[in-house]
Amino acid sequence: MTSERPLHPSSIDNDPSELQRNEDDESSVAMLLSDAFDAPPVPRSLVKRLDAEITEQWGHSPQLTRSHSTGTVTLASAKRVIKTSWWLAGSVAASVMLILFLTAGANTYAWATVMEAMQQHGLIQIADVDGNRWLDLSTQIACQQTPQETRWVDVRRRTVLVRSHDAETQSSKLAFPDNASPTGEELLAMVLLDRPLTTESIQQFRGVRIVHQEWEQRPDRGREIVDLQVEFATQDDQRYELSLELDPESKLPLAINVSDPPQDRSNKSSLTYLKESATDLRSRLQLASADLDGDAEARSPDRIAANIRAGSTKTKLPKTRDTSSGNVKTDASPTGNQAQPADATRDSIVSLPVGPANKWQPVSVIKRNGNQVIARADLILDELWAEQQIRPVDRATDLQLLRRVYLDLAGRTPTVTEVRRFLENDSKDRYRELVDHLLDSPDYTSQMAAVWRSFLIPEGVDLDAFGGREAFEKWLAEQFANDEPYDKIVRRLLLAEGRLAQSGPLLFYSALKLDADQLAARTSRVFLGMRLECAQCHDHPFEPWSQEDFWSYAAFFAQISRPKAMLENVSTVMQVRDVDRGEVMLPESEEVISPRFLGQDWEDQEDSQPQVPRRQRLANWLTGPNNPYFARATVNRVWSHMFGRGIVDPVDDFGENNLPVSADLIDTLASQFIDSDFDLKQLVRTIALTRAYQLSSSSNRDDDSPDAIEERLTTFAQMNVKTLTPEQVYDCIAVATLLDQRDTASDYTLARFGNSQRDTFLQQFAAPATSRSEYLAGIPQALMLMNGSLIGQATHEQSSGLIRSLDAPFFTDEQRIEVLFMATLSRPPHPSERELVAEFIPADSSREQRHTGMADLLWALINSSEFTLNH
Amino acid sequence: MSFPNMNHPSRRRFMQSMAAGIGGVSASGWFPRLAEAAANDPKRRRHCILLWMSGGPTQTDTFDMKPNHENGGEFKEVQTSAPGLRFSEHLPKLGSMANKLAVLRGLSTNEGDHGRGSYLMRTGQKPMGPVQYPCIGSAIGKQLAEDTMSLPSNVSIGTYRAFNQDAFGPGFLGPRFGPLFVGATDVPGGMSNGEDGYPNLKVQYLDRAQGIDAERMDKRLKIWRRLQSQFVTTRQAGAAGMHNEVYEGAVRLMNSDDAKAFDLTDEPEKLREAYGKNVFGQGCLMARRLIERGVPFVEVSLGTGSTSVGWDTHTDNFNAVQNLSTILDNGWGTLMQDLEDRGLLESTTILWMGEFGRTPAINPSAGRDHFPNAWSSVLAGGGIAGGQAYGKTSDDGNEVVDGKIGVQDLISTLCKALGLGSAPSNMSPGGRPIPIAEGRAIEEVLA
Repeated sequence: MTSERPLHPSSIDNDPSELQRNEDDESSVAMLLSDAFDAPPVPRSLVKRLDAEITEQWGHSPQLTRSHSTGTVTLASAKRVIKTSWWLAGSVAASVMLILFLTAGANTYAWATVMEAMQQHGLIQIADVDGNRWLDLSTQIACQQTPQETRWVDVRRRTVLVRSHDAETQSSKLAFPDNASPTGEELLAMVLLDRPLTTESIQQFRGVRIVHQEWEQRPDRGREIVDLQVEFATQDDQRYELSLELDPESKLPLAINVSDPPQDRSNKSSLTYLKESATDLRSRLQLASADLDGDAEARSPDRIAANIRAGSTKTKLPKTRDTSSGNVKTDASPTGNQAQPADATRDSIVSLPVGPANKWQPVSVIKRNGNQVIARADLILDELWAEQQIRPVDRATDLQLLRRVYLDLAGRTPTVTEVRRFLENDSKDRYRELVDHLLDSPDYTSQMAAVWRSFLIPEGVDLDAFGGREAFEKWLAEQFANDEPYDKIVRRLLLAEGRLAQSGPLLFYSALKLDADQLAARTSRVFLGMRLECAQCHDHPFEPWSQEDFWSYAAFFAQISRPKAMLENVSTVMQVRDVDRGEVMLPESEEVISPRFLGQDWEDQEDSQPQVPRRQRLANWLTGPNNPYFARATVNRVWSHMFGRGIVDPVDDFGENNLPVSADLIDTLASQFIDSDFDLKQLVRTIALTRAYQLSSSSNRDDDSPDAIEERLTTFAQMNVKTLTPEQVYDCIAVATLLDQRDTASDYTLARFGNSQRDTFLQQFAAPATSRSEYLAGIPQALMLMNGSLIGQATHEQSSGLIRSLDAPFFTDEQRIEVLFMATLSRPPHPSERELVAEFIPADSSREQRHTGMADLLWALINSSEFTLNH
Repeated sequence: MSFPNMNHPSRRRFMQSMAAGIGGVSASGWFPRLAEAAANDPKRRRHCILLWMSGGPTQTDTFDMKPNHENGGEFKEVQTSAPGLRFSEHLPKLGSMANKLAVLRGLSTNEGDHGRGSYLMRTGQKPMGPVQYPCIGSAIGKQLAEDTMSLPSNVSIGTYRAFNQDAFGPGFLGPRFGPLFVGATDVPGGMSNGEDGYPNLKVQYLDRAQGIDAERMDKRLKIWRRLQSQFVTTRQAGAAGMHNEVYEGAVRLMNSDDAKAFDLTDEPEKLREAYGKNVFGQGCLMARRLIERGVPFVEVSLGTGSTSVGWDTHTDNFNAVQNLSTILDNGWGTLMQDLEDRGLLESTTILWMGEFGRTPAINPSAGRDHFPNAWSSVLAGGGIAGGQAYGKTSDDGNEVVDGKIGVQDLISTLCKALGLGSAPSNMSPGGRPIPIAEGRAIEEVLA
């Protein structure tokens, strides 16, 4: 019998005494080293002598402190203080020596090693809540992006490009009195400390030096992190403190903390190491300049096309209505010659990440591989928890994860065979393997179809004449099975044409009665994450949407063939096609409202092609890479499907008054989603492999207050318990009790379509399903599960396929009980539960008593919260 | 055996459990509760009955007739027991009790679609926006409910939900306050009469599954509770706790003597007949039995006709309405009398309404169409100053000329009649108080 065990061993065993001894050694070495380096310059011979002495005294050389060690000793906390006071620009010898020494001693960390590691890496992105900055030390290019402006500095060319909102790129030159470029160190210090990249501050940072540095290694949520504190002093003795969180292996900083950031800037940022080149970045940011555009490659048609796909087209950003917040539109541009627009992309605007005072901007797409996205999502949440002093709960057990991921991805619980197969797999990566296996299963496509159907088709609409919900789900399942990109599926849905009888995507139009306002309300909720219909009758009460915004969006659906009158029912002979008439009017007025994209001004309409059907124009805009809402709203919905609540929650309430738990998290996922050409499967996979998704849903802590639990649940530091949809309830019962009597040894696939027993159950069980983390079924549903005929049949000793399958003589009672638990709760019974069973089915029971006893146990298991909920 | 969460043990059950030596309820826990019950003046306990006229009832052929106008139609208007108040000739029982009835003739709304109108009238809110409003049954049921009930706070009988499911739910109040549906059918004519000539009104699955006796059910529940404990205690917040609570409520209901309220065979045949051999009539009888047992809010629907949605009389209005009026008069009239005989009418407020009224003008198919502009609703019983009509429509019935009210005013008036004040609030999940209604209570019809 395999028991539940965590996926990774929690920590490496340390012998405490050995650790202690090592720590003493380390600190003595550190003292010695720091004394030795206090007075620069240090002759090279000293290092050698030092090394020899240390080797003599402690038996081994400090360079070899890690690599030679035979055991499994990991330093839990090693501390170093290296006092230095040398001039960066002046003491070349010292720095060369130090780099040599420090890189050789693999366990030592210092500013110089960090700089070297970063220099080797090319383009680095540093992101905080207010903006991004980039630095490429090898080419000496830096860029800073704030809600107000984007500033590009090419130090070697002495060129500065600045663009603020709605303004064109301004170009200017850096001027240095002595015509000497700043060093890489100076530039790095400035960027890390988030100083403005202006001539003044570059001058100020001339000859900046390190006056103190200190590091410490510590375990952090299952891995090692090195904290490096550095204090800088400028020539006029301005002090700056910087702390870096380093990856011990690569010595690259993962996050930095500036103790005294410039005004209005946050002090915490995270770093990403990009694959793209600085030129790529510049064209992505749409910063063009005649001064720099000698680089022909940046303007090749391919590249421009790639850039457009990557998230920057020539669309203007939504105009902000914001008056109160600090979103000041500056015209700050340094004096200098104004760049002439080189091509049409010129008048586009920078893509900014969301900031608290901003509306959503187009997603800036950053190329990362799958593991990098997961690692970044983990890091973002780690930081969020650390910031808010939230202690996440433990990881769920593998068996809990098995059940959870089956329910979320396949919509059902695993069969007993599947549970066993998983338990027998002793691969370290068995969870990841399972996720990949499920994503390729037919149950995944039908589950996703059911999920999307629930988003798109309102409850309580009679669709029987059009083939019913099932026909719509079948169409969706086909799309998912073919791995169609999500934007393509949405376009097919929006542009569906034909008689309603043809069902498929047309069911969407049937369900919404071809009504412009219903279509507008539903599409804005699902595809844009906005409850625009609140603005249907009057301006939105909480968000800056006006009644006109709603109706000008609805106008895109106004030119569909449709009878004029208020329709109570649509008929199968009606047709969906684009026509050249039909307008919407403001309610209780005769004012015709023409179509306008959400968040754009009349005069800024990105297309002015009245000859193109309105739906087509809407679909182009809606799924376009520059639409700031589409990708975000989608990743948020998928996240909510898997976590029981969205990063923006409720999922269709993106707005200024409902900020996301983490904008960075949404953008990281949205960036991957766009970059993958809207691959839903990859998105689901990424979310399933985040650490947060793998956390337990239970907590048993002494200090737990309802507030603390709520805090954890809202920040994904504990998994929400999710309710099952009626479909899932049926499917789980069917799988668990072998309702369809199928052999489960082979690969199991649900019979979701054309199952009349299932349809009857769903009709009766119908419970509202507005939120996944609230239990909304009521007493009628509870009665149905306790006393209803389906459960009667599924659990009764005479009719239950499961109970009968256990009749085989080669089973022991203990094995039978185990099967009952695995079939329903996807886990073997706990010892206390075995006792409970022994109490109700004593060992000396007759065959008949055992039968009824097992039937009773199965009934209780199916009615338990553990079975009926996804946890 | 009694259940840990059962707060309302009957005396018989208590004696049984003592006799059986199990003693699941301690005496110290029981007696204070008895005292508490005595301290609660039963007269102060209020109830509400909503008589829901699905499809939109015609005002012109019932409570606001236009006998001297071409819109008046085929029926005669007759004098009721209340001076100056006249109803249709087909509502004789109600006419005889008119002094308990206040007709509101100035109702004016602007939703003429069944689904939207249902939502508007049943929640008081327009059907849009992010908040899922509870139906007034859930909202008022919650206000009037007591903690110690084994029966739900809101029972809905003979319901036809197909126009708009959302109009029949607990909205943001959650499943605990959702209606318990009895004989709900979502297709017209879905309910047929049994062999005894009465419709088979019952709570689905309230009875144990076939072949499972009480003892075995007890055993199952024992295993179930043991399985529950570990899972639920480490997941108190959210769905797990709520799931457990709903289940305990269902178990309480199954085991409660109060569940007898749903068994109408206890009633004398003569009385059953007087209520009428139909869903509405028997539903009214069940409503009385539920109110006797303390259920604060009961809704009975009339309008699930055999072929169409009863009051939606686009064609052949007069035959249909005559038939409906008889059913209405027998059910409602008998209910009023029965409640009064038992001293319950004083504490029970009755609201009669549908999703909208019907056009005063008669269409070429001898039918009347949807008409939200000027229509009627009736309040009766406890807290209501009966024997009057409030508001007035024009001679042709097309306009309200006096006493124009909206749905918010209507619900506020109902709340005040129930002793809830004119604007009681429920808490939204976000902790924001959301008033049930914020209209102007019509003092003229309040007792």
